Amino acid sequence: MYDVRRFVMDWDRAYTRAPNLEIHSVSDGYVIYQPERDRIHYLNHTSVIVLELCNGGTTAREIAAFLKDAYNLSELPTSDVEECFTKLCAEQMVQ
Amino acid sequence: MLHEALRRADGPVALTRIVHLLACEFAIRISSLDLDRCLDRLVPHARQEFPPISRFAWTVSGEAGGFRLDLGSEESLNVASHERAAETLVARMHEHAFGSLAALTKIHAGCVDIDGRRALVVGHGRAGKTTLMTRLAFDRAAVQGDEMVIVRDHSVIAYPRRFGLRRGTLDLIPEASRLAPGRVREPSPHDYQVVSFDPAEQGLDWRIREAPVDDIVLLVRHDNPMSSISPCDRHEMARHVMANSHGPTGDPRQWIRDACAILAGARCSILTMGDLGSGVAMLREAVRAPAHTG
Repeated sequence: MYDVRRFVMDWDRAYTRAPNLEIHSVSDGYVIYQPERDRIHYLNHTSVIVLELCNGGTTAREIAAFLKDAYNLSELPTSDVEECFTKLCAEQMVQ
Repeated sequence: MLHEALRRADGPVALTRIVHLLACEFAIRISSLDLDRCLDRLVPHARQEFPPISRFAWTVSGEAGGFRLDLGSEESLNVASHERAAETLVARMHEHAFGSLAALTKIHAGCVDIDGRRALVVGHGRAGKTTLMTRLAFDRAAVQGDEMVIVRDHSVIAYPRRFGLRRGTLDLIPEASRLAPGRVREPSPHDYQVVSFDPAEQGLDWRIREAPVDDIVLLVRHDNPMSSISPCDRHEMARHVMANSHGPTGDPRQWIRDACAILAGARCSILTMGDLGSGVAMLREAVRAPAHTG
């Protein structure tokens, strides 16, 4: 069991999406099936963007900057992005 | 469509009752009018636009002290009374009909067409789906079913089942409470439904057909006097649809694909149910509202 309290956000890390995720779009989010764990996940738009950008070439800091621009925010959404990464890592959807 | 073919032979009564349950059609040869009447009170009389694929020929014959049920080559058994015979036949029919749908996703949901738009009302047991659907049926909405739909090719069709009304529903719907008093059973710990309600028996047009879903509504019970309705994100509704459904055995991928397929074209809302009247009005208004784009 993943302990979310042990998660330490590394803003300079380029996270990667776990392989074999089966992604189904429902227009305002994703329904994702994770065959290895036989789990189903429900992601909102922001989480979808984060997951999509976990391509191994984009750092977490760059993802936060992308979201700031995409949603026209006044500052980097660091706490939201960190919370999102915490959940995605806890569910082993990114690594 | 359920229909009856009654044929009187010389001598003892010989009836063939035909029961249609989606993909299955049952021709049951019966030698007792009492048994046939009993069976008639248990089977759904919905007309179904769904061609039967499997056909079964069963025979029920009177035996000393009871009935012998010959259920094709698979099973034969003896029961003591016509009530027990009818209950056994109906249970077996549903087992076969349900078994024939094993490869399809099922969602626990009421289903109604309002002005040509199809709404699925999803909710946990005792959320109020049956009460809502019964009220809509008496209001002449094209209610399809109160409990379960089958997903097929991006569309849904209600599973034909009599509505199991609870005593609380009878208190809320005067038309239902006026159903024959003899039909009201005392609730038992294992069976809280006290009336088996068939819209067609009440002169209502109960016609089951396959169609895509336009609206998905999560029904939530609440103690507030007034009902309320609010939009819901599709990915959030996906969670509720999945929680209230089960997919083909051993095929979670198909289950998710089916759920997402019906969500894709549907508006999603949460109906927090206060009093029945305002809840029905809000559901009707929400389904009739023009679809938003984008």
